[in-house]
Amino acid sequence: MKVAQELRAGNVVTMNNNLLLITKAEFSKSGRNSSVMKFKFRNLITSSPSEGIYKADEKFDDVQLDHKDVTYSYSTGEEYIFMDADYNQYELSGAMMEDAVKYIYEQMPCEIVFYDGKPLSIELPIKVIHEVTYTEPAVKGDTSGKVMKPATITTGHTVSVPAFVEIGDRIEIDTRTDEYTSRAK
Amino acid sequence: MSAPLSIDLFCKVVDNYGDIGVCWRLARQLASEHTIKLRLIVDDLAVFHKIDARIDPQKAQQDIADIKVLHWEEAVLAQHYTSAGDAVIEAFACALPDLVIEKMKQTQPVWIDFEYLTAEGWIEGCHARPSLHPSTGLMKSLFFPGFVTQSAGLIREAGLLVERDAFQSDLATQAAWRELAGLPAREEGILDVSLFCYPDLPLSRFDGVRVFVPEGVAPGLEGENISRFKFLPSRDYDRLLWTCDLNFVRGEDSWVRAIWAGKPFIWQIYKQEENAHLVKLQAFLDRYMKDLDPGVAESLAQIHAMWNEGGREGKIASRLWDSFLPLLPQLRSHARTWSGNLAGSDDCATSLIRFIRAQKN
Repeated sequence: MKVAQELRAGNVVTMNNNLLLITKAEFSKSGRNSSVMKFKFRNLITSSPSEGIYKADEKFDDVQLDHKDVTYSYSTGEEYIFMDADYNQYELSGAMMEDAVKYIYEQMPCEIVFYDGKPLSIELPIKVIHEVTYTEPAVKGDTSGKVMKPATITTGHTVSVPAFVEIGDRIEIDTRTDEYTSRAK
Repeated sequence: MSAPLSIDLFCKVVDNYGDIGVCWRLARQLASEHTIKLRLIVDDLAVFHKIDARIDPQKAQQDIADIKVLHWEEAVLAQHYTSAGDAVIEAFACALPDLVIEKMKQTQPVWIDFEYLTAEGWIEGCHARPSLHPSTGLMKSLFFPGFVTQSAGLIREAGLLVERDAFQSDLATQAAWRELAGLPAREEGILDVSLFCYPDLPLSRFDGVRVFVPEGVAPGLEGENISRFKFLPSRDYDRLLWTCDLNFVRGEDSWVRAIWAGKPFIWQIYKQEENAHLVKLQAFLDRYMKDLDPGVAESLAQIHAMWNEGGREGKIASRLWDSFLPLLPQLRSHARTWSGNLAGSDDCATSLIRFIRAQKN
C-alpha cells in the first residue's frame, strides 16, 4: 500500500481488478487544500489510457514489480535500447518511454521496470543534471530566482529556469515535476 | 423539468467556524435556490449552534430551513442514513465513514470532494475530473471553488449584489441597521473599519479610523476608536462589510463575503506549515491586483505582507498604515469593479448542481 504522493511514473497500481501503469505523475501542493496528485495511467491489460486526480494522501494498492539497473545506449528512432551490467539488451518503445525522452542521454543510469518478465517502462533518477544549450542572456542583478525564463537543455527539451541561468550552466531538474531545482556544481 | 436531486453534505468542524460556516451557507443556498433534498451531516452541533441559534445541539436529527440536519455519530447514521443521496459531498476532505461508503457502493452516487477556495492556477487541471477511487471502485471528483472559469466559482446567493447595492445607496437604512447592531452612526470624514482576525493581531494601533470588532476577537485591542459588538448572524455580517470603508477578514467565508461587499479589504489567510499559505495568498493577490495601479498594488501587497507574515512593529507599521489609508478611494472603485466582474460567472452552488446533473445523465 502506498499513498498517492509516493507514487511516480513507472509504478503500477491495481484498481477495480485492473493493472494500471502510471505513465505520468504530477504533484500540486496547496495552502489549506489537500495536496493533489494528477496521474496518467496505461491499462496493462487493454493498453487503454486514463487519467485520475487524487488527494496526495489517498491510499493505493501498488504492485511489486521487478526493477533492473541499466544504462541508456542509443535510440533507433522507434526503439530505445538499454543495457545491463551483463551486456543484456532491452528495448522500450517510444510510448513506453513517456516523458523520459525529455531527459535521457547516452550512458544515463536508470531502471527498467518489468512485469511478468516483460519490460514495462523506464524509471529515471529523481534529479538529473543537464547543460543549458540555449537561453536568453542573464538579467544582471536578479539573483532572487523569482523571475523565470525558458532554457533549452542538451536533449532539446525546454524547462523554466531563473533569470540568472546562462548558456553552459549545468542545472539540476526534478524529473517528477519537470522543474528546475538548482544550478549544479 | 429536472427531477429533484438529493444531496448529502458531510462536514467536520476542524477549528473555528470556517468549515461549518461555508457548508451551512452552501447548504442554505442549495436548498433555497435549487430543487434539492438536502441532508447536512455535521459532527459538532455545539459549534454549529453558535453560527445558527436554530440548531439544537441535543437533537440527533432536525429540520431547519428545508434542510435535514443529522448529527455525525455512528449510532445516528446507523439509524437514519439508510441510503445515499444522488450526490454525496465530502467537505474539505472530511473522510466519510465506512457505513456511508457501503451505502454509496449500492447506488453509485456522484461523489464530490469539496475543497477550499484558492486562486492558484493548478486547480484548472484538477477541478471536477471524475476519477476512479482506488479502494471503493466508485468515481470521485475534486471540486475547487475558484476565480477562473475552470473552477466552481464562489458561493454567491441570487440577488446578493442587488441587495448590497440597495443597502449601500440608502443611508437611512444603513443608519437604522447600525443602530440595531449597536454600532456608532456614520460620521462625515471618519473612516469605519471592521476587524475579524486570528488571535495573532499584527497591528496594535489603528490610527485615523474607527474599528468595529466582534466580542472575543483581538481581545487585547483597546482604545477610544474601538467599538465591540456581539457576534452577528451571517446576514448582518454582510451588512457590516457593506457599511464599512475597509474590512479586515480571515479564513474563507468572511473573505468571500468581503469580495462581494465591493469594499477594500485585507485578508488574513489561515496559516499553514512551511508557509504554504503564502503561496495561496500571493496567487490571490496576483489575480486581484492585476488591473490595479502599480503604486496602489504595491501598497496593498505590503499591507497584506504585514498582516500575514507576523506584523511589523512601531514606525514601519504606522508608516505602512498611514500610506495605505489615502488609497482607499481607488481600492473601493477596484473592489466594486472586481466583484461585478466575478458576478458574471456561475456561482458555486450552480456549478455544483450542473456538474451533478451532468454526471447523473
